Amino acid sequence: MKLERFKLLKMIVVILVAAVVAEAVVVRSVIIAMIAMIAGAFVLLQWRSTVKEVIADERDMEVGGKAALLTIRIFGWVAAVASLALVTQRDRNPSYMLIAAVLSYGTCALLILYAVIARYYGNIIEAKNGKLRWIAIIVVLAIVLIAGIRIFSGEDDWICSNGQWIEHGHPDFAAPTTPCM
Amino acid sequence: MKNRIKELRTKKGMTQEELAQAAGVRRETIVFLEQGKYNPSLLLAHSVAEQLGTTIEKLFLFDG
Repeated sequence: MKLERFKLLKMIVVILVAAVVAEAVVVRSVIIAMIAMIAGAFVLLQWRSTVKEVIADERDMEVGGKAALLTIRIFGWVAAVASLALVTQRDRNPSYMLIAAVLSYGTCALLILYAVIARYYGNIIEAKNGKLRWIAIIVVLAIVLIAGIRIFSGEDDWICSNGQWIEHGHPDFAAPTTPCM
Repeated sequence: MKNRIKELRTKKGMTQEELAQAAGVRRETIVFLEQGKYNPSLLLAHSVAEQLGTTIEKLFLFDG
């Protein structure tokens, strides 16, 4: 496949996947969104492997590497300051705590993943390509698990009991406004 | 760092696209190389020099 044709098809696939994901959000179906994204990625990877021309070379890698490093630094600082600001302002709106937690854990996941991959490319960690993929997957899963337990554990939450919202632990946020039945 | 890529490429009658394909990079990279805006890796420098029938020392002029 020619590179120009691949670029056109890639754009069409991205638009189609975005449309399906948007529809999935409307109908609240995670499955449809996941299937669309995985199918789109699979199709693009297959087509990409048939392109004979060079898609990205060493200059693209160098530019991409510098851009990624700067982006991560900027994002890390902005996320840290924003999280801190949200935590200190949690009395204004209790949901700030949840936003801060998601932002903090997401940033931690990004920085740890970056550190692992940077160490691999710096030849500090000796691993074959396949192993690197597994290390990255394990790191991300561990962080998602920890964040999930912390955010969705229900340790500090409101529990619906006998038609009333009762404090469980010490939730930082007000009782839900939805009816408790 | 200056180089003689454009001079030798023209002399060989090659287009930027042809040189890029032969060296395994995108045409834009050859453009940046010729303009002296990109310092290639040793591997790419060797590949370009080989395609132009010369050596790295004769292709790239180290002025530092």
